[in-house]
Amino acid sequence: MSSAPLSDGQKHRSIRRLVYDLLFNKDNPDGYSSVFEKTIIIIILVNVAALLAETIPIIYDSRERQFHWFDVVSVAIFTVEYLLRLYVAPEDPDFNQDKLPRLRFIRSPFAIIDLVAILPFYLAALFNLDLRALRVLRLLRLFKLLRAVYPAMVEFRERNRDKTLRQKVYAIVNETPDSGKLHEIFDFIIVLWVLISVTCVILESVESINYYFHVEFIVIDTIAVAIFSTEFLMRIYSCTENPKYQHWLAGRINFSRQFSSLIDILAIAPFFLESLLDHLFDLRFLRVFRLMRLFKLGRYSAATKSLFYVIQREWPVMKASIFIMLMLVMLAACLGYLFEHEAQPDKFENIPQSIYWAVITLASVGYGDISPVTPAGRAITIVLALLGIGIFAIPAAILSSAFSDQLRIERETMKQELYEMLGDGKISPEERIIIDAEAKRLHLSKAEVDRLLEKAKIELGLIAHPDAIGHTHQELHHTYGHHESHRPAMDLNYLSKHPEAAGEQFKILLAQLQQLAHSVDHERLNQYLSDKKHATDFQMETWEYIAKQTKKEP
Amino acid sequence: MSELEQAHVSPQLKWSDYVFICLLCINLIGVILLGRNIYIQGDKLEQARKNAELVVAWADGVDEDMDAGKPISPPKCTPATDKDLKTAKFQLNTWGECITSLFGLKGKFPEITNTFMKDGLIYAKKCDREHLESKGALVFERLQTGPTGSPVVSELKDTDVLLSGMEFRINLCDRGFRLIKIGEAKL
Repeated sequence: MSSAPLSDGQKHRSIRRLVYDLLFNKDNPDGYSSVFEKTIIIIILVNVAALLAETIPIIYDSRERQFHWFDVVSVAIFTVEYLLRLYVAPEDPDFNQDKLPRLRFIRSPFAIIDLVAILPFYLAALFNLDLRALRVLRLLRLFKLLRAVYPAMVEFRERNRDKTLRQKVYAIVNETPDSGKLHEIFDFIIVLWVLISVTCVILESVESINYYFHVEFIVIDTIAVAIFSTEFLMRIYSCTENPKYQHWLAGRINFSRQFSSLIDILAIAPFFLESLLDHLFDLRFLRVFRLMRLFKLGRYSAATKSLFYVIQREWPVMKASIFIMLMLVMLAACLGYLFEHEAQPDKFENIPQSIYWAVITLASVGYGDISPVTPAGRAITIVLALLGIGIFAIPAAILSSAFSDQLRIERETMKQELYEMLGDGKISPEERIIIDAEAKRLHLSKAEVDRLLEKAKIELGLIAHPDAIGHTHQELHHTYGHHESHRPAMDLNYLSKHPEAAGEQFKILLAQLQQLAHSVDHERLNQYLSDKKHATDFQMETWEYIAKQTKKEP
Repeated sequence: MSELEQAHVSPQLKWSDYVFICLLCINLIGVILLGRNIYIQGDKLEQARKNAELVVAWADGVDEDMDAGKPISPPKCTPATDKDLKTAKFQLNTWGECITSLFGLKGKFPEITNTFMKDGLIYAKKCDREHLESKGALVFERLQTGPTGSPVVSELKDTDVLLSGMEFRINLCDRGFRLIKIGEAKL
């Protein structure tokens, strides 16, 4: 179909609309507004990091040129962003109600912040300004982050208008239906600071780096502790909103005993202990515990949560396998000591030293620093090495099998959730978001989710069964496997609320009964059912009626 | 206030909310104060390091001056060469005399003080938690080659005679009474 050629004005408007939809329209699922926004946020954060790095002479002095070019590129990107926003302002619903949308955009708070972020650069190029003052003004770029934070705050306030302070705090630190984007930002800040602080702890151990950046590391650690301790207090305070920890004291104590809470405590405790008791004890070893902050990331990974759950579930079996492992290690160590002590008194000096040898041999590590020399010792080593392969593999096998089992259970749970969501007969956009998030967590592809959805719809009678719409026998096999009898029964609860589906189900059941009446030996079945022990009168009468009707219908 | 607005009024803060807010503030103030204290200590350590680096630079200079045949400043730190040892008239200098002339009022480094404590030691024999005044002090250790060829660290005594080629390590006693290696030098 041909369309009339566009005029210049229409072309211009269509390009403007295209730019707006692609880069700024958050309602456009095919656009790149989210990617664009995240890129700008990353550039802002790198800018702030660069600004801080410029205050450290050892970094800045030898890389002045690179820093300058990075600043030029950043300003260029921010300028393009500002100009693009100005260009598409007539398309933006926030400004297009005005007669002069672009002027309205220029006067908007975010546009002023955007302008302030780039203006000092151009002013410095035009006038001879003090560079130190300019550097401070560059910090204003940090305010550009408000473009992402402010709408999230407004959304959070709207959603939690009637909530208490504790409920609001709970919604910020935990994912709830009312958490919104602010919770995502909160998580992002925590993850970012975990990564920054862990990187610093690692770099601190490099003497040459610590020598020059000792003070900077102190500042970063202090900020990290301020953030993590605030987070911990928020979690402890709001945990009573969780039905599991409702009691104001016992609930909080129970919450503090959770693994994730212990990690939170270990992430901040070294700072307080070291700064308060350092002059009394040598607490350098506590610094290593700051690396525990990395475990905080486990809270944000569903796979890690599943793994911990699996370990918890399989712990009794694991304990048994560890017990067998320990027994074997002890036995091997004793035998090693018995056979090798005389030949190598320096290496198999005592049983503890033999334990080291036994573990290294059983675990198939084999450093070779201690090895048997006597024939009996070598014979024991052969048996140990072979046993070790199996024994050490048991816990790994238990975990991997339990992990896949857990995934299966979670997928089944998701299927149940799909049934519930389909209770009203359709999937709303909000439900679709939840399904997508759950599918991502369970590593399900879109095709697999669609197949699950289709299966659920068929089982709930929301769409016609493949037989009814002329599907081949092969397709039926694909859906239900080799036996149609495996087709799952419909949910009675659902049927009781949906008479149409109940009617369809009734017809299916009746067809199955007729099929039975055709194929079964009537004489023997009648004999069986006529016995009062096997069937009631009602069952017998119903069967006789169906058998009679089936005979009439060929 | 309309009915709709009334329906959307946030609930009043409870005493537990105030306790939480107070705890948050106390925690933040505490972290900032402790962080500030650590920062100040870190800054002092930075200054002490710079002072120690001056001493390392001086010790490196002694070696160069000796090679160039220039007089050593302060003279009390002039190490004895093999040739000097054969000369009966040569006055042997000890480490005690050298270090006193280095850090004395009229010494080479009058500006160097203990950055951690006003009355703390500028240099100490060892970094000892039981001697609080050793915090922030410079600790000198003698380096000698052991029988296996690896360096052996020992205490540099006041009575040790300064010999050309004598090696020593310059350390700093930090706020936790731990030794931080600054550098090694050879006379």
